Amino acid sequence: MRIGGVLMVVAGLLLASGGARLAYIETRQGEELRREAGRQQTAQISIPALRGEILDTRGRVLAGTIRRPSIFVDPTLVQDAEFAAYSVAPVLGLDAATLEHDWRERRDDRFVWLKRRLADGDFQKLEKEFEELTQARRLRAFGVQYEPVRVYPQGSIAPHVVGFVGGELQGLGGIELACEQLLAGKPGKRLSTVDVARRRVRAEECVPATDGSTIVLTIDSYIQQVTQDKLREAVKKYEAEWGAAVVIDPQSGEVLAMASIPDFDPASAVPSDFEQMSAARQEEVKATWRNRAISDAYEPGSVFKPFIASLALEEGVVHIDEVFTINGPEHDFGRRTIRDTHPYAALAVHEIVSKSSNLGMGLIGARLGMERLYRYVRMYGFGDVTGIGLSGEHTGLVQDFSRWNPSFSPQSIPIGQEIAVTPIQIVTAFSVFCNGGVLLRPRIVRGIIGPDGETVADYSRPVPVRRVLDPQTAEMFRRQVLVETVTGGTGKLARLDDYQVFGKTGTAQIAGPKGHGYGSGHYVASFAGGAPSDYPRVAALVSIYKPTKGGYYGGVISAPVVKEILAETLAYMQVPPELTPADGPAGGRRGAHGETRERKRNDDVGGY
Amino acid sequence: MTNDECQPGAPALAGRLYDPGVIFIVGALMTLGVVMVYSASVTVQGAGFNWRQWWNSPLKQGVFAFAGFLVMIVAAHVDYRMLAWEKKGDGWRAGLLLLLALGLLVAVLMPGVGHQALGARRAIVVPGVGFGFQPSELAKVLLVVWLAALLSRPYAGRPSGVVSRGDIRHLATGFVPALLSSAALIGLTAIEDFGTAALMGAVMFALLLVAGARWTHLGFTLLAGAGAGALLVWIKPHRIARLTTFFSDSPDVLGPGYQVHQALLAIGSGGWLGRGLGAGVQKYGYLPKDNNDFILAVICEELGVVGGIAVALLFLGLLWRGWRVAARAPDRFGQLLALGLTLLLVLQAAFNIAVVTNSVPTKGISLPFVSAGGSGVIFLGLAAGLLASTGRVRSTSPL
Repeated sequence: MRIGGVLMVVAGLLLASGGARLAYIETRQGEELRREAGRQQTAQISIPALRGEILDTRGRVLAGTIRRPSIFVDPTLVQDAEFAAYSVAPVLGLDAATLEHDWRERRDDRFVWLKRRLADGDFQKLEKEFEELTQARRLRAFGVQYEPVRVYPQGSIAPHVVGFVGGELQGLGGIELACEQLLAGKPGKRLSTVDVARRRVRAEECVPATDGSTIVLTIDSYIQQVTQDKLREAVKKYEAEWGAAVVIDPQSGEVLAMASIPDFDPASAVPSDFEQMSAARQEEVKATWRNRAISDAYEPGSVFKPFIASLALEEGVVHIDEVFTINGPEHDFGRRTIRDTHPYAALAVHEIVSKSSNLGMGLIGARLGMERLYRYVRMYGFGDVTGIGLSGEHTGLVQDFSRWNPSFSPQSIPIGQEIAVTPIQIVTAFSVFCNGGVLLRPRIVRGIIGPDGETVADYSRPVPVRRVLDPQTAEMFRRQVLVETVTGGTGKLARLDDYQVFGKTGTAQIAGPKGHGYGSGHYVASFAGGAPSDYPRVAALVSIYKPTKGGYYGGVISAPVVKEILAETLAYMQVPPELTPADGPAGGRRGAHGETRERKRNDDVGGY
Repeated sequence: MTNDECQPGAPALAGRLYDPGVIFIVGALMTLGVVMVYSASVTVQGAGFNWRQWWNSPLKQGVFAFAGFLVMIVAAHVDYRMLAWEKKGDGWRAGLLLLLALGLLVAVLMPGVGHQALGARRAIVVPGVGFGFQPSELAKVLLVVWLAALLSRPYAGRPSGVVSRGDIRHLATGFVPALLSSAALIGLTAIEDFGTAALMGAVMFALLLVAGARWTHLGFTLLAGAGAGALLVWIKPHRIARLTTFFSDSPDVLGPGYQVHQALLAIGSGGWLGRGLGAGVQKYGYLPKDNNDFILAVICEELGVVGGIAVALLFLGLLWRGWRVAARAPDRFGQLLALGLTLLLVLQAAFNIAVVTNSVPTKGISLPFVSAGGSGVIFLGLAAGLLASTGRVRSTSPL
């Protein structure tokens, strides 16, 4: 039995080594094994956050999120790919051969979309049929998951402002892009321990999603609709390359409407066959996404004259009634010849602006000198982004005066050449004449409401950038010079029966492709205007780029658009009529009532 | 010890009880088995218990363990010497058991009788009841009984030279009959169940060694056994795959190495103290045979490495009790029987632990008393009962 004892000891050692081996595994590999087991046993499901809404200033939904059913398949559960593919393909309206191939290729994926974001009606019809089919043929691999879909209930309202989203609901343009972080919210997650078939055994951790915030815009759907429609008509009528319009509340800097034509439908901004398109066609589609009102800078032409003239008056370089000898219709300034459309002999300063005399502005510019001109241009915010808060804003092009050409820049700048500006810059600068001389930052986001309804940010107060004009100068300039432009100058077509409209026309030649010479025969027709003149409630700019048919003067093709926008907007805002029929459209009434109100507002503005 | 020291009729039952240590340890292991098999099975089968279909319930193991425990108690009460070959002509009882084992092993190979599962024909299905039993589980116990009886039979016939006929040292009459009868059992088992056969081979070798077989005979037996083993590995491709997997530096954890890898993950994720009873995750389909051959991995995941070591300690306790019984057994049959049964149980446990801890190539072998399965727990209960029974009689002579 001694041998038996030895055998027993051997057996005991074998057992003991087994136990020791367990301890060894734990000490040497424990951490690593735990990590690997954790990877294998836990599944993380992301809980999508509901994307926030975009509302107009009155709370109308411009962009919202709903959930739509999508059908998916787990290829690992498909026993017979061919049978399953040919069973479901006709019901779903898909190609069976492609499905089968796809499922075989992606066997291990466990999750393949079949049909995404079905419309409600389609799904109800499909659901029954699909269910019966899968029941009858014992197909277990299919499932339905509700996916969020971005919807734009008002259709194509301010598409460039609202923007659009990509396939994963990521913002790709406009506010959707600019406020992506706020809108997207934070997805939650659910950690679960799962079995080998990835079914949940128990929940481990659940972090609820934080839904996105709601962005309230200053845009008013109605004004926006009017603006878009009128602009679209004009662009179509004059067969222009594009048009841009901005409507602003000049007292607060709130943008009421911002339109670009051509535009797009945000619900289908990226056509489904975009990838298959030719490069040229893709560029065309991309061009429709372009928010011309902030992204396109062009030489403004005569619409720029008031800015230079007003500051020349402010600083006393010229006097409003000072008469300049013009001796038109053309004049040589060094190497550069400037022409007027009409041969004027002599014009007072207010007439130079209202009749839009290039020669007169050239003379004023020559008196101002380059350094002062440059300062004036920058005072009005040209050359800087306005800070409206949309992505893709252009600063415009304002070269430092040291790089200007002394022999013709002093004449070019005052008539809106040699610089490039954006529509939003023009309308922002134009508001200075309306609100007592203060340059305000234009605003398009009025506030942000958190997912639980709390106010996250309130941007409803005006943001002054700087005082540009003295209130008296601003008011005088508006009432005398800009009103005169409409009553007796180049902007007659902007006149309204009930309100005294003021404004400035602009017809800029588009420089040739190399940036030299204006012989291309293309123009940008602009009109910047506002009403009522007593206390301007609305200011608007319409620019029509490269009109090819039926005229090209800003006073002819853009002024009527501004007029219609102003008429509709003032009526919508229930602004009391300023003029009685007796006053006639030609006579600006400057009643004591209006004076008092104006003075009161000026005090307010002065407090900025 | 020699045969003549074993006096007939010497201290009979003498009022002593069977060895309580064996009963206690085996009872503890069976209880642990019921709990852990329940924990591992409840995931797939649901927690309900239906008396009409008790064999479909995770509590099935409770019924088996109860039966096994009963068998053990009954066997402990039976005088083990009933099976001894003390007198000439008594050998028919042990011989009958050998024939029974051989018969069952042959029967399981016959199509229609043997039930094939997972590529191996290991079980005989009892008609009418929804389950079968595995003859190899019985055969390994009966092998020990038969060898113990054969090797302790009274030497008969004329003395031949120094060694008498029938002595194990005598090749033709002692060694060869023992070897051939065992080899028949082992060989039949090996066809479908290599792991059990290897275990049986080891136990047989140990018994022959203890019985005093010649080293030369044993040496040749070892060589022959190794050759047979190699042949058996070679005829089943999955055995080669398991071998190459074991010796590979980076085993294919999604292929042949999957099971052991998952067992290691279970051990690792349990840590020292485990995730808590019932809280294991590997049993949710990750670890194949989680309630059977790899129940130790589930124990380690839920009760920790400490739990796994406790299982090893229980078997060490069983080893100690078994050695004590063998050392105190009054006769040669009792000694060989206790030694063989103890080695059978403990080596199987050691083998199982080694497989689960990736110390030897994967081989389907269950953890005695703990793993799910009726045959195992009942027939090993029989073995434990015989062991306990052997402990009831105390030898008066020193070993």
